[in-house]
Amino acid sequence: MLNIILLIIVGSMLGRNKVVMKFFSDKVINNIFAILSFSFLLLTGYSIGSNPDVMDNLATMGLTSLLLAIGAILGSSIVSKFINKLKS
Amino acid sequence: MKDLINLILAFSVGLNMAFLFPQISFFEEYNLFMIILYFLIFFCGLSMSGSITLKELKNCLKLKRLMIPVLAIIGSVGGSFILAITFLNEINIMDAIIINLGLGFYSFSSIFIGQHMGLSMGVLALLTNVFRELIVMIGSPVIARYFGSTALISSAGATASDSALPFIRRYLDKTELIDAVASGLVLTIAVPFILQLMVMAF
Repeated sequence: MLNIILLIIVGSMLGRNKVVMKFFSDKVINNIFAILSFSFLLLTGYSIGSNPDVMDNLATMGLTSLLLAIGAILGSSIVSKFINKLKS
Repeated sequence: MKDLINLILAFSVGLNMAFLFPQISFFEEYNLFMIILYFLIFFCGLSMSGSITLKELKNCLKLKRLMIPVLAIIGSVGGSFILAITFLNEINIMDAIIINLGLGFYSFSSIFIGQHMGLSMGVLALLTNVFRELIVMIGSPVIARYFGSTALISSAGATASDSALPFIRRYLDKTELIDAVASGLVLTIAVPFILQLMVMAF
């Protein structure tokens, strides 16, 4: 957790430097993100696929857990949208 | 739509690789997963700071934006409550709520719930929170389009500051990115306390 906070702080301090930002234009950063997030998701797929705890129980508990996750996401999304509408 | 297809493709290629080549030690030996995540987070910080002014930072302190972690908790509890009384009759309402209060923090919640509520509940917590993280990562274009950026942050839960951040970043402006990091950090710290309280109370 500390690593993540430190990386965000270092990144945002460097982002204030004009010389650094000249090199990392929005287009470059978007391309970096596209490549890195593709590989990150690929590795996530690999680590989930090779995790026996997840794969062995998918048949018995998969549907229940999927529904629970969708419920939580829909719940949070609907509450947020409702609050946003109330305020604006 | 193109983004969604790309994300699903990346994930399914990874999943298939795990079946076809189960022993690639290269990934784990160099901890490639964490290295890529750290790079992503670093670039999030880099792209975040660019042109943020003090006024924009002050805007982040508005009640509506500070409420995002609370919305995530209320939404998760409400969602699991409604599911447990409608579709999922086989699961106890309180169990469903406690599992979803893991808020995507699967590494902690699965172990904690497994210790206090039994192994099968631990596995269910692991699967549910893994699914939550995955759905937010892959479905971020859809959630952003139909529910807006705040919904994206709150549905990511505790993962909004780490693994989901690079994926939700595209749909947030620079100040909302600060909201996402703050909300994710608050929830990551809060999940152990919330789960402890819930397990003690029920």
